[in-house]
Amino acid sequence: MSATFTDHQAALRDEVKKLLTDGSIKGFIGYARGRDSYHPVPAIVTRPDQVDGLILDQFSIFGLTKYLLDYIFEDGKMGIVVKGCDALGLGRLINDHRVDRNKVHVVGLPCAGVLNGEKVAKLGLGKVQRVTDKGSAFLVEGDKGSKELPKTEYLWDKCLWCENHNPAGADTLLGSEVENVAMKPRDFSDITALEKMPSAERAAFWTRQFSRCIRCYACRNVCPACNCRECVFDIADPRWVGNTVKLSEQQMFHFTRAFHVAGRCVDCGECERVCPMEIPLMKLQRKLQKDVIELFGNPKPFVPSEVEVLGQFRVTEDPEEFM
Amino acid sequence: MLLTITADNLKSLLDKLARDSLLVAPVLEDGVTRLKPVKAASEIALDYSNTATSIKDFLFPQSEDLLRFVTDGTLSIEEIKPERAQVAFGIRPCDLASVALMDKVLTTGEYADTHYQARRKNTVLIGLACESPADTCFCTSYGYNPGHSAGADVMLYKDGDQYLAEALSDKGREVVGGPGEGLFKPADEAAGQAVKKAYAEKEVPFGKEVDVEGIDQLLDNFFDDQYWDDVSKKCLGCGTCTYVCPTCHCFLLTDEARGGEGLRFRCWDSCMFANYTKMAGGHNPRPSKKERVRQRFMHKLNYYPHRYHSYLCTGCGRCVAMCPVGLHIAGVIKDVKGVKAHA
Repeated sequence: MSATFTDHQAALRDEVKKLLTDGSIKGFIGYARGRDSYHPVPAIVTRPDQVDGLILDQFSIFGLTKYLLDYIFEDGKMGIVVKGCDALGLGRLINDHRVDRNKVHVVGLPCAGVLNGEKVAKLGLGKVQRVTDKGSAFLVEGDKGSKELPKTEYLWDKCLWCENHNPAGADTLLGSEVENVAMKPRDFSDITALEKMPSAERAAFWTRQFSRCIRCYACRNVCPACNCRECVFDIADPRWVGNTVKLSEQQMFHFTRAFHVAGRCVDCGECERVCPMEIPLMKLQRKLQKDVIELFGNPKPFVPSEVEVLGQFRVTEDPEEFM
Repeated sequence: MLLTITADNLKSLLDKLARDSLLVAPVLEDGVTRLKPVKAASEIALDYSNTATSIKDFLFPQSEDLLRFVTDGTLSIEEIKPERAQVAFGIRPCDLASVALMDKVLTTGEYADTHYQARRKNTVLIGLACESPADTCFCTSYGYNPGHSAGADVMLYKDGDQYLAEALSDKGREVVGGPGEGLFKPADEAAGQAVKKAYAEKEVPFGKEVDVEGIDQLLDNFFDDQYWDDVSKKCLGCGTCTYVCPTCHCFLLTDEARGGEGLRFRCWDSCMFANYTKMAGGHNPRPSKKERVRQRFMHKLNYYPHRYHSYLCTGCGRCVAMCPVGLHIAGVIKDVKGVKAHA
């Protein structure tokens, strides 16, 4: 029976108001209400009068850390609220030397799982009045109905196998730490099934997925591991990768991106969640995670560490004879 | 004259159209309904509020070859003309309305876009009135409605287990009298008009929340408002809004040459991209998200209306549903009215 995110909303607003007023931060990256109760959106506030627009609720899934890149060339600190999974994204940006930890005030949000707004919105509960943590379920009370939603069915998939419920190294923690146990083991069965598919069938599966891509780059733009100073896909001269919309270019884009974040992906799942064409991008990432786990013996490639699996070269251990 | 067609006869008609020309229709694939070329009526999905992508994909494709050139001492140019006839089925009223807005930009004035013009000429639009508008739809805010048929060559309205039909252009009458011969029956005029009226008056709940009245004028003196600074901070800089929008029409031209032979093609571009207005030499007059976000909404709600006397938005709601950060036109309209009301 943990506190819900909403229980911390008042404390968050107080904290942000204090930080903005005393000048410790010049802006804060948090959440605001979206088009309904189920789709909170990012909000970046810079003045104390905007702070009451900040919300926290159990649908606050968006990983906000990528916004920090908008402020790296400015003086002063930015504040940001991070869940456990978001802290991994922040770790990615810090380890990649893109964000200076000293320029961020991290407000940590212990998390017992985030409700999947897409799923819950379909239940017709109306405007959400209250969410209560009942242990294995969240009770969602709306103005048109209430329902107890089992966590195993209504949380985002990544929350089920999450082992990072508490954001590490926060400057301020909202409430107290929650129990840090995965609800079920990390599950690669869908990836194994894809691996076992005859290659023609697997090619057909991915062809269908990538042919939907509209090259909006939402996946890249939200990804904390996609943090290059200039992305190869944005360089017009020379144009390394074509910008026409055809399958080969779409595949080139997604394969390049997947390989570039291999071993660096923090498993936040944001690429797949923001994709307007619902391309299952995490299947690519999770295949690479599985490979890194199996081939390099790193059980947690999604946790940024000092030594990255694919970011090192040990000549004496390299099995490649040619080298 | 109002007609009716049974669901089975409509399937026969669509099968014929798919055989004789390129038929584009809504297809459900991996949970996403979008317009796609189909080979048979059986592939078509009919249970959708609107398609994820719009008819724009087929009148103004995301990438399009324009001309081939050879430079072996002299220059020879061969224009690539889109000549294939296509029929688009299941086009919703908002998208029909969007075609009229695109026409103004691409076919009127001093220069016409010959490729767009050719595709328009070779395309038959079969509209389908909306039975259940999505909770992101707000076409009524702009004066359109779930039965709005302007722009359709043939308009269909589901009526129980059959469809009310109306041919609205010569192209539409050719479909009804040609491949459709024997498949349509005359409708009872009064009953048919009642069906049309019911669609025209169908409720669009979100439309009631979005009041666009006078927004073009409110934006006249809004260019330098702090609002653009505040609202643009959350923009992700992706192209989702512009690419799913049925009325965004910016593109970039590229020449690709190898040896003495080359191809000129165009691709959609997005004013949300950082390099959209980047000049040769590196200067960018829209250096931050503030200028880019402002441009998109000023274009739709102020610049275009000043020039063409209508908004460059039909309330299809795609940006409302798909913008990853909820920075959509309905929200901006509400916000600007709020800021102005408190000013």
